[in-house]
Amino acid sequence: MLHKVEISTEQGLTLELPLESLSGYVVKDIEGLDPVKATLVSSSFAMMDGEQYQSSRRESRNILLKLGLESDYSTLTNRELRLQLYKFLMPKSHVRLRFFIEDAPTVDIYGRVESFDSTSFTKEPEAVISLVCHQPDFYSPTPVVIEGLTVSDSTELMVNYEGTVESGLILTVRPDRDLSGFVMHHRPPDGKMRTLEFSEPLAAGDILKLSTVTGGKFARRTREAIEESVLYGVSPYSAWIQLFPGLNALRMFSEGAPVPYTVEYTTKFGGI
Amino acid sequence: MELYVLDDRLRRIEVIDRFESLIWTERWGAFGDFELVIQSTPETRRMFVPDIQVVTNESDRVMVIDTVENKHDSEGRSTLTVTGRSLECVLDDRIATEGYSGLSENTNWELTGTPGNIARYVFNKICVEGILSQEDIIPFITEGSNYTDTTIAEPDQVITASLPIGTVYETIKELCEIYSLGFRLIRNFDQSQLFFEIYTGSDRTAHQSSLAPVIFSPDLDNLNNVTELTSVSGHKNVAYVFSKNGAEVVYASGVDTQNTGFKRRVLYVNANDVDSEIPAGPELSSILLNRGLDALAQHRKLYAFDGEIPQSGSYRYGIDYNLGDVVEQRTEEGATNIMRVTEQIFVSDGEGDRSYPTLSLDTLITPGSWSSWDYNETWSEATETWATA
Repeated sequence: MLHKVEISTEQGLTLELPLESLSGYVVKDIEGLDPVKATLVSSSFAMMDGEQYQSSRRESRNILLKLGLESDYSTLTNRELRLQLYKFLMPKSHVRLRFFIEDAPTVDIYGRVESFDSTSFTKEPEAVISLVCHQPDFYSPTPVVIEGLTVSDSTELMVNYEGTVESGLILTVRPDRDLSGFVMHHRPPDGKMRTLEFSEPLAAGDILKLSTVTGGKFARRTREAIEESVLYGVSPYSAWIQLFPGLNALRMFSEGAPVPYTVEYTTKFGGI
Repeated sequence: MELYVLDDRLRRIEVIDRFESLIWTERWGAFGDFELVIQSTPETRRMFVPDIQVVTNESDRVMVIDTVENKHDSEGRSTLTVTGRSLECVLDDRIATEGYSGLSENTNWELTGTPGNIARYVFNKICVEGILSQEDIIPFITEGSNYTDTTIAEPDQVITASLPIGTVYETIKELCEIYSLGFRLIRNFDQSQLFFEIYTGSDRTAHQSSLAPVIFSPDLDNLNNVTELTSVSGHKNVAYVFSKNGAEVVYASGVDTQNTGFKRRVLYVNANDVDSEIPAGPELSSILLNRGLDALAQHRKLYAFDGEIPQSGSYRYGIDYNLGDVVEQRTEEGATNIMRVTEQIFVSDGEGDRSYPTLSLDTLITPGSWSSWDYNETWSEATETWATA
């Protein structure tokens, strides 16, 4: 169960909103925490029944925060409470919302304040704040880091991805010997094998960082403190591996002695 | 669809998978083009500047950015619209002539050979050997190909071409248009190699058996919402080509030389720029024939065809067909058209990724003709007889 919401501004101010609070700011309702609506694209054709599915895409998220202003009249009046709230939730401002949930991971989401409507002259004054989160997923603030060694056999590394939305990963390879390349095999829960092949030679002491995160894909090698793109080392036939909810089997294959690597990913949730 | 930015060795160094829209078109006998609309940020403005080369994960063609428009609208949206042409456009920056001489002299480049070999020769002389200037040499050109051999034979007719000074692109394009050839300048993955090819395409109609046929037809559920347009308003089938030392009557390919009356559509071609020192004879005839065919190629029957090919369709570009291949298009009325894949368009936007070909008429086969597909006919009802030797 959700028990606290934290709002942080870009200026570093943080407002804590415990859900059980009875004075000050009272969280009356939060809308827009379910999975967002998907837009489905399809085509209809003459002489054919139904439609042909083309693609689907999830829209941005709209969170509505309804906060009651409960003044105790000894420290802050309702007006002062409302004015203080402006510091955190002024329309146009960019904020981070952190949701604390019992028995579940804490999650973050970034949004931009769209509107701030308050009712001042009522018995129960409240503020309704609308936030638009252009990236609709909630994500775990702490990335998961898994360490492993390359294999020259069929040994797999099992990764239990606890999110509900697929997530890319950042692979870091720190070869302690010369490495001609490697192949990362990925077997997601649906069983369809995907492969990412990297064929640019690496030398002992190099650091390779390869990201498959959507919108932030790259392959960069640091050699003698100089970083450069080695995207051309990724085979054009490679799949940009995404972890899917459930058990994902990864196999980092390379000939010869094991080479250390790490896989880092952010757990993402489509709704809480 | 993903877009990659190349470094100066034609290797991918940046990947872009988040943009508003990308339209990528590659063509058989001309350069292709693309348009990318992406959010304008310092990073994208740094990345997309003129002369930068880009590729996609769907294609082996390289596009060169030539125009970048950075737009800020009243709603605060900043978009970068990036457009460019495929690498074949570099041929438009090279001049096709055999050497430097004053324009008072005859500057036409006279070459004899098959049309395909003449086009290759022009490319090699200017862009590989650099006969005009070593600086004209296109880097990374290597002999080779990523494609298997095409099955349609190149025209083996030996011609004498009198090529006026023009760009290598115009010269090759014109030759290719007349003789149904295509050309491409493609990247060999990240190997810092470019392959230049003149090619014909493969026959993927039902009239052959070496390749799996590619047939677009409403009956096969892979062609819908068809629009067809046929026009002969600008059509000419005979060219009278006049030069200083002679004239030639040239017939369009496949036209009956006995065409008379209303069927005869004559085109006048002025070829007085042909070298006056070439006397009447086989060499002049060959040059005038080439001129006539060139002019007639621009006055073909117009046949426009538009149809939607569902994404779930049975054929995939690069696997089942390629640019230049001839495929079949069948209408519900029984007409079979032999079409050539002249263009492949890739679109990626808010509605997802789509890819579809543009088909141009190669041969129109009407129902009932010997070449036609026997639509709705049964053996017992056939009225034709076997040809006798």
